[in-house]
Amino acid sequence: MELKSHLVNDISVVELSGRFDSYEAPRLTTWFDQATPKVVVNLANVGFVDSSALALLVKGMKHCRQQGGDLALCSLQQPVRVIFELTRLDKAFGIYANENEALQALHGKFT
Amino acid sequence: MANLLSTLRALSGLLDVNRELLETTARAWLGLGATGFSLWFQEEQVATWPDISLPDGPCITAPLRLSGVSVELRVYGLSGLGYEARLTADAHLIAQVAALEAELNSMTQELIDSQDQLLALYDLTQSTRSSLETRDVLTALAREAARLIKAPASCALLLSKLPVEIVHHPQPILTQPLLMAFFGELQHSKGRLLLQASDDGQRLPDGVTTLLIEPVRIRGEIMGALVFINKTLGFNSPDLKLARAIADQASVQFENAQMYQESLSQTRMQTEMELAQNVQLHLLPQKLPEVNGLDIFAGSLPASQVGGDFYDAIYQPGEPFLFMVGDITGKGMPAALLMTMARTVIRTKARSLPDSSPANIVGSSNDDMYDDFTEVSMFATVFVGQYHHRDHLMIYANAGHSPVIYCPLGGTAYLLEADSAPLGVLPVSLCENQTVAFNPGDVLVVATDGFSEACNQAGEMFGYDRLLRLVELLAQEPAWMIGTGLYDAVTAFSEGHSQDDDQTLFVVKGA
Repeated sequence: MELKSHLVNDISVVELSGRFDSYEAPRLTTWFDQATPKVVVNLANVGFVDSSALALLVKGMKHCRQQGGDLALCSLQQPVRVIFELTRLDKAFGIYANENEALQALHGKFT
Repeated sequence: MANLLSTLRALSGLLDVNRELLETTARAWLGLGATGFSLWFQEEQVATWPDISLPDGPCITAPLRLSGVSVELRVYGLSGLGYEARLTADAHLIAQVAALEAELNSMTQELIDSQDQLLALYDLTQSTRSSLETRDVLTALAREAARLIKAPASCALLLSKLPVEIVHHPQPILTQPLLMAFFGELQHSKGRLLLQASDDGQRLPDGVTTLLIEPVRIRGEIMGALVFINKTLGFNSPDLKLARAIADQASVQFENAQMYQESLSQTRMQTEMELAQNVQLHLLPQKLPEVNGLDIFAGSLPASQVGGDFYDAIYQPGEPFLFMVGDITGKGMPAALLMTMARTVIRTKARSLPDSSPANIVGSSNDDMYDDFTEVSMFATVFVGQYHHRDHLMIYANAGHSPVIYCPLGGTAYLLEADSAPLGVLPVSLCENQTVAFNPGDVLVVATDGFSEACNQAGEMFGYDRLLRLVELLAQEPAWMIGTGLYDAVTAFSEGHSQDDDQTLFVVKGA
């Protein structure tokens, strides 16, 4: 899994690609430690997530909310979207079609 | 002068060793008619036969080399080429026999030395073999090494684990900082350290005159040392050899002790895992209840020894039959620990809540466990089903669990999707009671994602479609055949690929 990140105002954006599973999850954990409380996780290039990955996203989301921010997901591929729908984690996360919408949503939420 | 004295001393030794040989030769010459036989060294007569001072008269001579010293044989009272040739031949013979004897003696001495060393090492092995605790081995080593090398004091140290272990015998003479400094030097030089007050006085503390530090290697690395202190007259070559042999013996001993400790902790861990597995197996229902109107099958196959999946069935008199299947994120011991907690909480809710509807059980369990799940960054998907026989209804709550497959008699199988996130994700559960008709022949299969996400060798997942088609295909069969059919199909599909996740299954069929 590759991990690229950038900052848009006070929002940390991370772009992941490849398989997002228990072997790769620890790298994102490290990234979360230095991220701002507002986070967008772009999953455009992620084809699979396992339960460890989901657990990590839930952890990140809770952490952001505790810090007064939030974590939004964007650009989910169909197989990944299905996993979020089946586990109803789509009810726990803000999920957006693309990065811009996610950024706007996070921006709007706190103004 | 000193040189001559030492040669004379050597010569007298040679005479002692070879006296019998020379005497036999002398007697033979006297028997032939000689008046005297003598041995000369630098114009000095050093031995004569018969034992009287012989006159320095006419004689025949032959040179002889005895262990590197040049001497001369003289025979009095006989002359002629024949006797001269014979005397020369005798000199050769004596030289050869003396050389052979010297060689034999030195071989014998070496044998005795190595025999002594073997015995010493045998003693050492005997006194350390019975113990596998490093401290006991060090104590025996320090004591025996001092005894064998005849050093008044010694110590043995081992750094293979922290803190460093040091045993002094009989009393500490070197301080720990000094020992550690020497040890550092030992690791750097990769060989023994030999220090003497005459050469290295400033490096030795007061009261220490000689010091030998022999490295002890464990699996090729210098991890310990044997220190011999204050041997009178210093350490000679046999001492160094013996010290090396003792250190090698110590290496073997420590390697054995280490392997023993490793296998011991492995066995302990294995035993604990087996106990945990046993506990977990007993947390699953030992026997499924007989429920009027239902045919039931359940199974659970953890990916490692313990797993994060669970199922349970509760059937209390006067109450509808209740069953649940859960899956904790992750696998192995962390998931197993939370599984036992989740199972107990949900079970307690099911038995004690005044309103024990599935949604209420799930919601109330989430209230109780949300903080704990958040603390350890995990969550659990849960399906709770409640069968109402009189109304032929299945009421259920699904917190993020999949796959749950419903197949009405003769119809198409489809997924009963969750209506709320898993337990531990949101502080308040949004779970509601859902209802499906459950008539004879209808089938409900609640599996865990270990089924849908099982992979074959090509990395392809079993997937939901295959599961749905398989349930339709098996729906005519009794519950146990549906269950075992699903296990068989997934096992065959993923043959050659290790089982990545726990596989748990609960099958109910209207009877």
